Amino acid sequence: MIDKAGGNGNNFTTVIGNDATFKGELHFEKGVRVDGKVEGKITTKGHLAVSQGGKLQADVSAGNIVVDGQVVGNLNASEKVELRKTARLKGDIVAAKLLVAEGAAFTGHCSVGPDAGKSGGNATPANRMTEKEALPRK
Amino acid sequence: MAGDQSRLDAPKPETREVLCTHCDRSIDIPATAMSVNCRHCHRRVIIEDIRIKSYHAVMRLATAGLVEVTKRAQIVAQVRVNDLVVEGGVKGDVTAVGSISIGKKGWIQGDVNCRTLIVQPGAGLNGFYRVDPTFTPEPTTAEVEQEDEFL
Ligand SMILES: [Zn+2]
Repeated sequence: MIDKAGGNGNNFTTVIGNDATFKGELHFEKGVRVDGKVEGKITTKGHLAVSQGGKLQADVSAGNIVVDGQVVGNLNASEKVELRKTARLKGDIVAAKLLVAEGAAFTGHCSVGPDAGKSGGNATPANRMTEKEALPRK
Repeated sequence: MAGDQSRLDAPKPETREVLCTHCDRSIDIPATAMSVNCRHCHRRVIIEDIRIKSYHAVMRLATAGLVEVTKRAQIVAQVRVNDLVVEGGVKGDVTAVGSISIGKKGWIQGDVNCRTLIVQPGAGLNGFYRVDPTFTPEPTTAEVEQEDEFL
């Protein structure tokens, strides 16, 4: 659960309440917690949290993203994406770090690593390996 | 006679249920078995845990147990396991009936299907992921039909 203070010591300057529904593009400078529904696009340099009852149908770009609720859309985090046990995500992840708790469900393309997102989200340590493709893919 | 009685009283060998790594159908196996023949597709199913300690390139790596890829080790293969622990690297598509755990220096390049994914910060992932706590591979009869052609 994401607490009112924002879980990992993060204070959310904005909270989208559980009876609120937003459609459109939202920009924030600091942390935001979504308890309600958002459709569209969210951009923040800070921390974005989707609490257990929260529903996002949006592409998100943020510093850190923590998901307890449902997300349909792509997540792009400059630092970390965390999917907690009640998280349900349909969409792609681009992040430097990923944490997935047991019980979380996720379908989508995943590009995670120190360089992910810096060069088209395709530069994981795996890509830096130099050996040739040994096998044909099925 | 006393010997016969004690044999009757002896506990039955414990069994456990696994999915065949070829046809994905359920089979009961002795708890201590290292490999069995699937009663559905009649192919050999490896049960034992496998530890990969160096570079290992094969077409397919399949076990109904656990595969551990140690630091500096690498698998290039299509991987079908019960559980997977990656401290090194995996290049190829991965299907795990149970969990996949990727350590802080581990990486997977390929598409992944599993029930549980545990990723340590620092790990590298690149591919299409389907992490579903209810994930069960579709049982198939394709292999059996294919083998029948040779009969
Ligand atoms: Zn079988």
